[in-house]
Amino acid sequence: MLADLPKAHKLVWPHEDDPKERLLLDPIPQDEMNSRMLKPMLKASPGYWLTVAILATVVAVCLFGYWFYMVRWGMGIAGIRRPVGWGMFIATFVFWIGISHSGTFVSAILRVFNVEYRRPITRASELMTTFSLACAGLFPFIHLGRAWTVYFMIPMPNQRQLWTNFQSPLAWDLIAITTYLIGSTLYVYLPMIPDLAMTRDRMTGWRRTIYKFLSLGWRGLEYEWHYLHVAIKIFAFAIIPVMFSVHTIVSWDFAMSTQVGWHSSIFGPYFVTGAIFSGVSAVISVLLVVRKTMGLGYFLRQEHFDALAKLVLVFSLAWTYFFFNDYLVEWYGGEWVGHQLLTLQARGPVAPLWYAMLFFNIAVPVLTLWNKRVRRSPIALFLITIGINIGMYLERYIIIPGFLQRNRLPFDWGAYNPQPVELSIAIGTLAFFSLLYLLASKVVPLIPVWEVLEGQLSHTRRRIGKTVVTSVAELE
Amino acid sequence: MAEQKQGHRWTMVIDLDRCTGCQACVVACHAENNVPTVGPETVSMGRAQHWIRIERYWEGEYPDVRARFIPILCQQCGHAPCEPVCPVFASYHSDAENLNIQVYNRCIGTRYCANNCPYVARAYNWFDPYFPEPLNEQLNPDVTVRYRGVMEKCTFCIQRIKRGQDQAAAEARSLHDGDVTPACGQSCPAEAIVFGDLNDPHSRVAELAKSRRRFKLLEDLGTDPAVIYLKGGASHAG
Amino acid sequence: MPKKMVLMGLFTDVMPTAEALDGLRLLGVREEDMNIMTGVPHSAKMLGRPKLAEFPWISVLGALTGLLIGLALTFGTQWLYPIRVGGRPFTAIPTSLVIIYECTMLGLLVSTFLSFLWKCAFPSTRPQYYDPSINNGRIALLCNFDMRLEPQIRQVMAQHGAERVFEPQRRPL
Repeated sequence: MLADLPKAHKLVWPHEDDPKERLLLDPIPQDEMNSRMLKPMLKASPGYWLTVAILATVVAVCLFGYWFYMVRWGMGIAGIRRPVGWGMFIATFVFWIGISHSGTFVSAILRVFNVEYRRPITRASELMTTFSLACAGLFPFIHLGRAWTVYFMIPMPNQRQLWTNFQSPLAWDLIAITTYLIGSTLYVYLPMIPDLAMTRDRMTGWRRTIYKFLSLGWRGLEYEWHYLHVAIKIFAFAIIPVMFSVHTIVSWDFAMSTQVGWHSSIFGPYFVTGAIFSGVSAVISVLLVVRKTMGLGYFLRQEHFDALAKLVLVFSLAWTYFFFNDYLVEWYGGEWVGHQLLTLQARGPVAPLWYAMLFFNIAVPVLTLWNKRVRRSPIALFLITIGINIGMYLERYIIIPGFLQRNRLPFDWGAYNPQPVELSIAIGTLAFFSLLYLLASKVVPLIPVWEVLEGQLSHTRRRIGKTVVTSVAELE
Repeated sequence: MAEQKQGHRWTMVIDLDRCTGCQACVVACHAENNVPTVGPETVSMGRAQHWIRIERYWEGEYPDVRARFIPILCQQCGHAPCEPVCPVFASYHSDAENLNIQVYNRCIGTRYCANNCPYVARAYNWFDPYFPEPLNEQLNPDVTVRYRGVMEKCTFCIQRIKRGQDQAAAEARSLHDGDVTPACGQSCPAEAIVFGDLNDPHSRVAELAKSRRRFKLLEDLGTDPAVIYLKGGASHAG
Repeated sequence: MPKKMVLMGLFTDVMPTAEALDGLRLLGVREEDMNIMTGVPHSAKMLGRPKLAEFPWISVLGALTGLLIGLALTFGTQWLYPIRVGGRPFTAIPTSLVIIYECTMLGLLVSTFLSFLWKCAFPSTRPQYYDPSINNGRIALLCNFDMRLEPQIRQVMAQHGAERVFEPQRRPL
């Protein structure tokens, strides 16, 4: 009886949510869907070309130009020194590897768990993975003192009878990043084939030839779809452990060493969690820009960003858990040098960065992303996710050159001051990533239309009692 | 070539009670091993280029200030942390000599070995070396001049070890204690640095290694260094 | 040998297509002579067709090849040209496992992709039977049969609501 309820309860009549707010409940004819996807690919505004030109210049000068200058004159123009052997270059490298976990998480993990809202965002985020790996892959060349001898690391027979030292974490990096790069490139390509075929059918001239070549002769036969599904399924399951292993191996560059603060068994899961945190945030940032500039509002809706933002909140909490674990263990029972590191972060020259990291990674997401209105506001989400990636970059900066400043021999402590070449190359890789993405957005349909259609096929509305609910069918 | 029954175990004993901190060893090492002098600006940036350095710590308040110093060089660890992390085997272990070998031509310059050395014993060539006149005429022909981007460190004057071995082989005898002296040991006025083969039971190092004043630097890390320090008194430096 | 011909029927929905397939079966057309082309994947169950069920042997083979390559790199190269580092044995299982694992996964992924290409006979540049309207919601039913059955085939397709029934030409895609 209503009269029995304590007065504190508030009752409201629920209103029906508008099914048209859900992409998968809002089908349009396939032809029109294809057109909406292809339209931004076919025309390029002057603003687009200007942005491409600026980015290309930044890449040529700030990235490659300055890098070749450093190759000619020596690593000395960077700020690294004794005892800080690795600085901003390696911090940026780890940052890009972290961003690379964006695509695989959305495209593979969400696919394996049959999470329906992943459908329109898989390809845009997988492309982020491929391009961020391309950026990350530059750094093993950039940070070498003798970059022209990098081929010494490649395991191949040579007349010196010398092979790679497979006990070195850097050799593991080589193999793991190569595997991940090849794997994720194939994984973004496979589901792209039907969409490339669709694009081929609508193009003429030299464009048609390109798509004809890229779509391999796809016709949509039953056995083609079957083998594609099997291949995608194997890839989705297999690339998840590869993704976990890649950032774990990159974290082992540090964990395997004797350096205090680095030699920690938590680095594996800590870095992987941080990478997914950073990656999913980057997906939100990039997709917000893509949606605005390419007019893909039909495909990328509030519900997608809402769901991704919830994921970001979860990973913020997970990252906090690992961070606090690492911190408390060092604080409680760590050796003297470890305590020097904690002081360095809390009160030393690194303190502003440390507090900024905690602000961007913990305070901002936890205090804002629980709120539905924040999650549904593009501006707020964009600022929050950019802030998260700033915070995650600071985390790598603190761990890599920050921790190296202290060791067991106080006479050999030193401060690290990044020099223009390091900042320039970091900005150059950001421009490189953006340039690759911009160029790809004109060549590759960013939304997997066939997957969206498959989702719309499986979604219906059905009546249970007095309400109508969304029902998702298992199509396989 | 005379075959050794067992390999050498080259060891250095540094007696801190004799060391005066005069830095003659540092200068001698520069001269012997073609180590460039990098200049005060570079040193203030933290890029001092020494294979052996005198670490100096101040203790106490004025006027009872004391300087404590310890020469630190590559400890030629038996379980060297710098070796497994080099991806191209530029830093590896010689089982026959129990030395940590640095191969300049193989080094690609990742600097992982330097990060991993707990003694911060390794030095990197940030730029091409510059030997202002007339130092360029003083270079040791037995030792490579390293290029930019290459890591270097104390080698226990391996060129002198090799020369001693060649000499002994030419005279059809085995190495005697005192045949091989590194540049630092040769130049130390206080004879604080003693070098020899620990596998030779009659060598001076074998004798000194039994001393009750002995300790090894950062021994608890398990690096098994080949440098033994001697210090009496309540505590040791570092 | 009776002369064979090819007809393509374009349907707008799954059920009519599946029923048309039933009708064609009754006329004696074999399963392998009928092909469906769609712009959105429809499972064999939806179309009433037998399923392709194959174990991905090539992927397993690729993973094994990767495993062997990983073993060769880690244990093989040190066995052939041993170099001592860190006072450790020449080979160590924990560190080797990392490389062996990565090489296995690379073998699995690359072989899966190659087996997909091989099974679908990609890339294909020959002229093929195709109609671009499958990207506009149409389902194409391609049928290869004895010429004498043509009127009945056409009738079955029209009866189940085929939008268009025509004799396709092989054209470059």
